Amino acid sequence: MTAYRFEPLTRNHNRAGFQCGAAVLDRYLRDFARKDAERGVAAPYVMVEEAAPNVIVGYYTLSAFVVALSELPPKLASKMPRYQDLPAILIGRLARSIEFKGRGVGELLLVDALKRALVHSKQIAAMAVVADAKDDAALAFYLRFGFARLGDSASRVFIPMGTIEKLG
Amino acid sequence: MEVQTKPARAKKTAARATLSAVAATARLEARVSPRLKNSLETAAALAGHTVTSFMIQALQEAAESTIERHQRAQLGQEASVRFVETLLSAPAPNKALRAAAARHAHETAA
Repeated sequence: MTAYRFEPLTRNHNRAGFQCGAAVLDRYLRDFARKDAERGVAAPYVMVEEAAPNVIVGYYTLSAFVVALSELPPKLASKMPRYQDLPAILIGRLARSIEFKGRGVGELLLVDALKRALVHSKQIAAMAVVADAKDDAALAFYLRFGFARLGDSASRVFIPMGTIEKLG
Repeated sequence: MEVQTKPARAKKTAARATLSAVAATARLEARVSPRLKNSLETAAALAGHTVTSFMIQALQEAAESTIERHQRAQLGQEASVRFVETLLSAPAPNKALRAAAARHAHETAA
């Protein structure tokens, strides 16, 4: 059985060879991901096979996000921290190589992103993971794993950190 | 379109046009079509700006709003209540997510 590894993107990973079927996600990985990491804008993580550690099977990015609330009814407000800006972690991009299509790579990327977000939330408070779905297929993907829609947004979904914690 | 950035000496005009108090010492160049240049000049004139100050202001606004959109979501009242209620109840992970987590644990090298 193949053993996968998840790690921060480095210059050793073959970014130019990555194709997921969406040019914008390929281009991001090739041209912008390392710069974003250097600037601290977003942290890109890649999935590789142990046997071929330079070949990118898939990748995702995590970054800081804020969910700004409107005023809550007093009963709910008393249960929440007083500030109305709630910290969260955003999965901005998530993509798998077309060469690995049909192997359930997407769900492994998602679980890794959620687990990593949970670890981060121990250091920097984050109450939920938010994801940006690029299209209907991506939206359906997140909803299938229990994400809920974030407000009226057609593309943003979230899952409570408490739910991820229960994954064990 | 080509865009290049390089350090340059602060010029009086650029410094005046910048909205922040920090000296404008970086330079930004872009090649555009004659048509776009024309429309920039018209828009700047209408707004009572030089082309440079018009571009700086428009770029700053566009950058701020893009960053804002990517880092922040503002929820209305009803959506805020739904969001907080979901956070507080923290439903157990569904079957699909549990199965995926089991695979992840199994197929990932330490």
